[in-house]
Amino acid sequence: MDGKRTTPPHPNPNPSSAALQAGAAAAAAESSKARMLAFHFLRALSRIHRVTPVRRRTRTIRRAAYSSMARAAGPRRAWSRALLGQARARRARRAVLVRRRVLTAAAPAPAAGGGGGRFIAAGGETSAAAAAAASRVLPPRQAGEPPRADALRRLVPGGDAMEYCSLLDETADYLRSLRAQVQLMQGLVDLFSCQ
Amino acid sequence: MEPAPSVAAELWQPHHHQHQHHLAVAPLETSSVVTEQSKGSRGGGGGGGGRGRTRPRRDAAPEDDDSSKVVSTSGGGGGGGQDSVAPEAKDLKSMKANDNNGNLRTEAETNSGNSSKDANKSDTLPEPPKQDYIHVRARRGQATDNHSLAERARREKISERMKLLQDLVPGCNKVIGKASVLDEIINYIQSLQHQVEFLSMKLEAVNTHMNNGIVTFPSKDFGAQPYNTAPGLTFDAQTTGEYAQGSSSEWLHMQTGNSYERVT
Repeated sequence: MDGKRTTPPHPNPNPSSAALQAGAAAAAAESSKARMLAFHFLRALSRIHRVTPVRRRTRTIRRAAYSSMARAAGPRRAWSRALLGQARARRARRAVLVRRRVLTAAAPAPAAGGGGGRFIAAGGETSAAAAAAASRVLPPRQAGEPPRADALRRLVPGGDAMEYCSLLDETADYLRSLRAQVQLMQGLVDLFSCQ
Repeated sequence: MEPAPSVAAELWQPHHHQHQHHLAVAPLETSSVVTEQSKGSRGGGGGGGGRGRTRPRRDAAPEDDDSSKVVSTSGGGGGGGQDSVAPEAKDLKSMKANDNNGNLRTEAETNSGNSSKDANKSDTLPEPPKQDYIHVRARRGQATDNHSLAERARREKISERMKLLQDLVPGCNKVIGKASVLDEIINYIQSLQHQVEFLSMKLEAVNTHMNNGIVTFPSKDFGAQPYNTAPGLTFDAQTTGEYAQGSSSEWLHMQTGNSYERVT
């Protein structure tokens, strides 16, 4: 997609997204990774303001922030893979709930097969998440690891299943990405709220 | 390979002054320091000759005396490939780079011994390349089997990554100790995550206010409306002309519509 290379996406007659385009032009940093971060986040933001009802927006914006962080980092990092996996599991769960509502409302036979497949898939993902949470009890091969590393594992996404050495590496990358995301959001807030 | 002959050449110089001592001492040296290479033996003999220069009356020094001298000065002439010298731990300590062998001539023995004892890092041995392994020097009292070597490599990797993290976190340089550095890192990550939460709340609030303020806004009149409330936003006449194009809006809606599943 060529949108990743150009700085702002195409302008839009919708007023909020137009302001967001200008925000993208003003807030785009030199490095390509910061630009990708801005692109993903701003696109998500414009969609959220168009679609999502007001009461749930904060949560959705926060999740969009983490997702755009993970997408900008790429699949090479364990933490970004974990974040994207979490987002996918959440969407699958929501789809399951929607399907369940559809099924209880009207129960046609072919929808039951598709819904059952969705149940199984979501069940597999949630059980995998539960297994990952349970495996934190048995630490993976840590020799000289200090006891504080447990808190670090909880903070960094996907940190449960890592050795201490790679955990430190992932923490550094996660910190850099997190800092870039905070800078971007702070810049946007400053941009939009100067009155 | 190159340091060995050059240093050996350096070490050979004092022998010109003391031929008689060299002749007396050298055979003892070469017999005590058993090497597989001629270069190594020359280095060993040169080191022994260098020591012999400052102690001229040690002609009758027995072999065990010489080996003890090797150990006490920690590495003088024993810089040659001396894998077969008996005390193995001390032997590893005494294996040195050959430039220290050259230093023995110029410095006093005790000084050189101390400096060589202090300089105990894991360097690769330049002189005997007879094996394909990397020769790692053990510190005094440390074992050298594979497990502890891997342990040491892992610990060094961990400490180097901790240093990287220290550079990343502001204010972490003043803290000393691995535990407090970890605490600082954890606090920093937590504060950044709280900031993301707070900023997402602010973004939502700001955008809803802006949307409410610009309720009836036809696309063509973009340039005409005063945007003075947000001076940070730069709107040219050129960009406002683009806003009126319907195709671009369809493109954007198509993009965001397609990516509905991808972006949360």
